[in-house]
Amino acid sequence: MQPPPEVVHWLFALGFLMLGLCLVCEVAVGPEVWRKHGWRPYLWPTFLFVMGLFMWAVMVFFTNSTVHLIAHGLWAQGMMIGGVCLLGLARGKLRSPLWMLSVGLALLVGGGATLVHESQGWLFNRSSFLHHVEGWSAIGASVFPIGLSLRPRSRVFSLGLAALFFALAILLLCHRDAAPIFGHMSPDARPPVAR
Amino acid sequence: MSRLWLLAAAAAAVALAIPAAAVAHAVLDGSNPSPGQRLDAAPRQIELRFSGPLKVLPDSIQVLSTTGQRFSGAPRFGRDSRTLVADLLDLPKGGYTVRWRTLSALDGHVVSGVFTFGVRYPAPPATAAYGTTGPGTTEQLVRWGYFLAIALLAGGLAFRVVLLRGLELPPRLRRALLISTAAGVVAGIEIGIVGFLLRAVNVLQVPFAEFLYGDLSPLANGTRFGQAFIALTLGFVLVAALITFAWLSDRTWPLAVALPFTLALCTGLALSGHSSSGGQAWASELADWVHFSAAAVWVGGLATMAICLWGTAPELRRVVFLRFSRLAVALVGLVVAAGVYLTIRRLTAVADLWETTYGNVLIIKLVLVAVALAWGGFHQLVARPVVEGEGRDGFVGRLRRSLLGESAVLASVLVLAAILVNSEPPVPKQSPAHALSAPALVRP
Repeated sequence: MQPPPEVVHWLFALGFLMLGLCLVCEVAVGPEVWRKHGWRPYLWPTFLFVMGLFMWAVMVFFTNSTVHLIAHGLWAQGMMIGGVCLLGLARGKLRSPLWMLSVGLALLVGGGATLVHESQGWLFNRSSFLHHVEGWSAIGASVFPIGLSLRPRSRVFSLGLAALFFALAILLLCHRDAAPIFGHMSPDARPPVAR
Repeated sequence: MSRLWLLAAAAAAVALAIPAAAVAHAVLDGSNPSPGQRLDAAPRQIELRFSGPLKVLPDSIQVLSTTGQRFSGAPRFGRDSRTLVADLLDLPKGGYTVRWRTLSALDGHVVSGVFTFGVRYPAPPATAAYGTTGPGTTEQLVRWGYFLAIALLAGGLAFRVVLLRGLELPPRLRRALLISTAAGVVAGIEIGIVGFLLRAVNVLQVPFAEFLYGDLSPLANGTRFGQAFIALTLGFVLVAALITFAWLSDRTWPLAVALPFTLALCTGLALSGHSSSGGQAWASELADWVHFSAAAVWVGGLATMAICLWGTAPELRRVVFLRFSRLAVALVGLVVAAGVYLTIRRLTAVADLWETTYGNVLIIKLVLVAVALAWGGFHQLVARPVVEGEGRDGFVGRLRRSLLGESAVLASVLVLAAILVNSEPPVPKQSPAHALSAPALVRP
């Protein structure tokens, strides 16, 4: 008994929405105010880590092709490793801001995996289009965490990362297993699943 | 500058607007008979429904008996170009393998898969599909790596939670223990995935390029091997989360929770192995779990002591060595008792030891276990009294090499354990009940 793939996309969209909101709030009030409550610095790193945990469940339960299993595994590892490094930085266990590079690496690998696992073209249907946009967005936006590793207090890089998370959330919320994009849908795409 | 941006945006919009060639590979949406189905009457036709249009290949559908006899006719389109059908000969009682392999008309990808069904007989698991061979050398090595990862994790956790309880630990030792257990859990996850994919390659019997689009769901969802993969992967992930929390919070209780959980994961190996078949399987599975769990803590704890403790905390060597000696006696007792029980259960006669491959491997394993026991006996009977008596100059320091030696012997025992877990024990020569329980022996 598996939920439809689009429902899984929507659940992860909510996760990314939370990540983006936390980052925007931190930028809006400034890091000093943000850290006045001891739990706040852990908030979005914990979300990222927990999303990685749940992605493992997606990996083992959605096994209709090898390439999907590998892609889901890469996303899970990327989110968990990124989350662990951010938690370590927040806790003071890790000192160097260069650990932020792990988030950049996770975005590069995750974006690449998204593009490789989507074998359809851009305009095959809405889901294919969104996967392509998600993959390229993640790869392009990896510049923000890389920038944060060099300039940890940069508002521009923080807002850029938040924008990526919002974009991913919106894109994931737009997922339907079969729906047209820009009025176009391949006649060869499978018909919508009757529910 | 603004003109440049405008040009770039226009180029991007054009690139997005041009419809790309619609390429998509078809996936199996459903079939009749369905995977794992037990039919009361022989079907006259098999039907496979896909998500996209196909091209028919001569071997698009093969329905094979347990002896490899083909019962399916030439494949052809069914009601549309997404449906393949093939007529079937009269199927006698037994288990059947369906191998499908077709060309996705849209992108030219070859997609493939395998599943099983039974006629008046339970469907064999996908891992026993016709054409599947036993684990090869690579799979044995991967299984060994899996054992080592679990041993490193379970032994490291037991070492930290049980043997170092109440002691003040220097930061270097804490760090070394964290790295060791984290390496164990990461290796467990990664090697588990590799092992699953290797088995899937063997079951699907397709080249690597085609394997990328192979359907793994019958293996993941319909076999004990697949269920064990799911349970172990999720279990390792949970243990990874607990280790992360222990690191962040500087607390030991998450590790204390992770230890029994890790030991419980060892049941997954017993559930997916040969001990799960036959009568009184629960007793065999329990013995398997005790055998492997105790061995994992023994070898992992020993290696952790030699690698992590000896170089980072010389002041703790003596007290921890003595604690480990006491624990090792209990562990060895469990390993030997469960091992003797399993040997009696699995060998039908003493002669199996030299007449069967399983027995031959078991003999080599027993010899290595004897070497490890003798080495452990030296530590228990010779080294321990010296250490208890405050130790001679340099004696405790030199013990490290000896501990590593014993760990290496035990690690080599795990190689043979990996081979035995992947092997079938000898079959009783006069046991009709066993013959009936093995789908591979049912002739149509």
